[in-house]
Amino acid sequence: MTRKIAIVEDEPAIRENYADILRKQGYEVSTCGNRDEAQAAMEDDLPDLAIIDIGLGDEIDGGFALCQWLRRRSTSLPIIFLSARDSDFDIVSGLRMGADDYLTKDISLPHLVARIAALFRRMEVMDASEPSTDVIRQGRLEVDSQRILCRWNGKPVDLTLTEFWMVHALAKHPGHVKSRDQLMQDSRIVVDDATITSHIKRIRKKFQQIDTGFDCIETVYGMGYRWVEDKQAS
Amino acid sequence: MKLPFQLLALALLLAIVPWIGYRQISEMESRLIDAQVRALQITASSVARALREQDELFAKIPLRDRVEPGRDLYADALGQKPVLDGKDDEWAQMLEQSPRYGKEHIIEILSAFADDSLEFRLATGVFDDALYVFVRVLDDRVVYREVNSISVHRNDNVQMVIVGPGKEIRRYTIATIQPGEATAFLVAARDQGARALATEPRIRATWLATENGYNVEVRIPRDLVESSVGFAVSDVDNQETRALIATIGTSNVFRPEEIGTLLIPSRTLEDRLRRIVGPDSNIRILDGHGRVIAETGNLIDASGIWADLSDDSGDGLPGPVYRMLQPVYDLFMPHSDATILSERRPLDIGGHQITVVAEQNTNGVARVQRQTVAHLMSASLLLFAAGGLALYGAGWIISRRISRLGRQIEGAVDAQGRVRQGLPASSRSDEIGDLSRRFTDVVDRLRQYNTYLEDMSRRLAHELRTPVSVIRSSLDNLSMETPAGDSNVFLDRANEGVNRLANILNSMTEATRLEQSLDATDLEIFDLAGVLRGCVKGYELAWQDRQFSLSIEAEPVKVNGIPDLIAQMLDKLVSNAVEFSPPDSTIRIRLTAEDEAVVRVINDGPSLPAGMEERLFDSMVSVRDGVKSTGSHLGLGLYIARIVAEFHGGDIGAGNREDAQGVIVTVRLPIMRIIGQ
Repeated sequence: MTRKIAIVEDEPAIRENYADILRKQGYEVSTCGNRDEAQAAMEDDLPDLAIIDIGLGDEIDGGFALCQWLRRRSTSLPIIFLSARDSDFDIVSGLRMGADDYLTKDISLPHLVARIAALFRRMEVMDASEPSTDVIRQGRLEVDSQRILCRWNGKPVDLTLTEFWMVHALAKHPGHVKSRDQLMQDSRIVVDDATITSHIKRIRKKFQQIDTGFDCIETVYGMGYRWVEDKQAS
Repeated sequence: MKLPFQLLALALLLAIVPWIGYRQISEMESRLIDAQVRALQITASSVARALREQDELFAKIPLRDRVEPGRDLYADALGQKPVLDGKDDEWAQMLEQSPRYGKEHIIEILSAFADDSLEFRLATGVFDDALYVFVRVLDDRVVYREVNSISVHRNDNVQMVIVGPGKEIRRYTIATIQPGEATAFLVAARDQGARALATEPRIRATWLATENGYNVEVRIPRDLVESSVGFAVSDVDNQETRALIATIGTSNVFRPEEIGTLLIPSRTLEDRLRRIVGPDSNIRILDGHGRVIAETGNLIDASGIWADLSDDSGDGLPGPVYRMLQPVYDLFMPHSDATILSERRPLDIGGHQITVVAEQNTNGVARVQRQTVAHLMSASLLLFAAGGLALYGAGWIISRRISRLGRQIEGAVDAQGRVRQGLPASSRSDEIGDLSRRFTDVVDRLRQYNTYLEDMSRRLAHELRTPVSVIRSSLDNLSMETPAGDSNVFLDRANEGVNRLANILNSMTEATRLEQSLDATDLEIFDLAGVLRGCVKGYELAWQDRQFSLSIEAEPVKVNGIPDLIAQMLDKLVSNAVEFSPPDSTIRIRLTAEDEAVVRVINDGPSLPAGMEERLFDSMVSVRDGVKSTGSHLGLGLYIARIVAEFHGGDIGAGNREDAQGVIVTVRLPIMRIIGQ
């Protein structure tokens, strides 16, 4: 079954580039230039994944509105924000709207493709619930890179893709300091140091929502971050 | 000069008010005097007219066309009542003016008369209702009357002949048996034997012996006398024979037709004058020979029409204040000497020339001036005080508002020239309010422009992102179509360029994003030394071709803030130091803590250009000159360092090393002190 991807992007060149490359990957791609068009197209026929720009034509927050609209129609539909806006505020807002990931337009197409594939894979695995073969366990942490699933103490941690890749990179070599550059490479995004910092903060918060005593991600000032051994488990 | 003092100086212009007033008062003087003169003229004329119409008043006054000095006598009004003691001290001046009666005035001579054996001087005066006569006789031998003698003439004596109101002639002889009180004898006429008829008790006399003769002082009731009188002194030198030697007289007392006149100021006339004019004029009626017939008022009190304004004290001011200001008033008083205004009106009464002299002093004018000056000065002083105070106050308020505006303007822009905050607009409708509103407007526009400038990099980055991603996605598409392994060098170069461009765009927005995220971040208290230690370990890994030396002189150094940001700041400072230092040199990082935490990053390398120390930390400022650039440099690194330092309540500065072999960047941060620790 060919998966359907909807791209809502007001810049035609970018829209078509993305559409082209995704079609080459075998996806069925529909494109829209603004929110009304997108809502009309998706009214009856929901795609399997939506890539949305935040600023749509005259509507500077049109993407947010569209995201909310889509979330009301389907709670499981993967939504990716792809925007030129990279402020903390926009990222937090976008994720709160219910998006599964927030990417800036710096991202290279192969990375984008990999993310989309990962999202679909997560959906498949969740549907099929087959036993996974690619799982890293660190104390109470369980990172399933096949299902893109992260568990702490057996409870799933609701991470975005970017956050997931960061946790994955840290947990793969516990005790080793991962510099910001390494984290960027591993999570396949290009952002500045401050954005990495805020991502780490959000990750910690998400773990702390499950376990208030969580302190396994340690800041090594000037160098980066590292995963420390889970003392309680050992 | 400060504004309030300028306005105060302006208040000195008010001094023109008393000056004009002073000029006015000076002019007023002549006008006042003119008016007084006119009033005086009217007084004189009306007195003259009244007298002309009532010439019967002059009936009893001996008006003569010709007056013979010595014979025709004048009884001046005396200032005080004489003491009847024969002493001449009260009369000395009048006696000096009296003719010397001597041999030229002999009216009878019976034996040889030595020239200087007898002479006398005489003074007459009126006080109240009595006529006083003083005779000073020079006589070499004084012969008194014998105790039991019937005759009053066989001794030295003074004779008087008085024509009474009924034209009757009375003769008196004053003789005494010893000095002291003397008796006036009414005597018969010579042709009737010159006998003493009776003593006259109404006439009193005192006889005083002197060194070279005697004095006789006589008081005669005024109603005994009308207008003719004669005095004579008879000399007897021989105590034995008592023979008369000679008689010297003011006129020939023995011949009624030759008796001289006595002019006494007329009381009826004076009463009349007093009724015509008040006491504010001195009026004298003179006969043809300048003798005063009548006089009313005295010159000292006669201030004319301004006399009734003579209330000289107070002027509405409290007494002490007035007295205190007295010298000020005196300073401004016109200093003109008191003058006497005099007006004469000739008058013809029964063919005789009479003159009315009306005189007044100008004291009234002086008093009016004085009063006016006092009024003026009080008003001026009040005006000065009030005006000066008001102007000073106004100046103070204005200058305060201006300096407040100045402070606000100064406060609106920080040391780096960034607009810190808006200016509160004044609601006052005056020029200063206007100025304030204009400044508010200007600062607002400046702030908008500033915001625009500050936003520009962010907006630019944002706007550039879209075309960059167009290029990037296109390149990605292109490289995917290229068969694997068939690497295209041009594609790689284009990708490299786009990546660099993306990096530039990221760093352009870094500062803005940092500023935006500051507000949303929670602060924590952390140990600065620990952060430094961790960071330096990282730098040793990152820059293998530099040595790092960390010296921590105090530990722990508690700082309230965001450790990630401090690390970020240090990253910027160290990467800056690395860039400007030669390979294999040592970068020293020092932490000291006294009143505040001080972090110094010291590197070898070129000195800073003069004047760049402050600007170095501004946005988009770079001093790279001759240093090989390895990456994208927008001059934002140190700007971010400054934002972090200022966010933590500290400051950042750069300077050259003392040995001029490098640069020191100093960050000062406040130390968190925990109470009880």
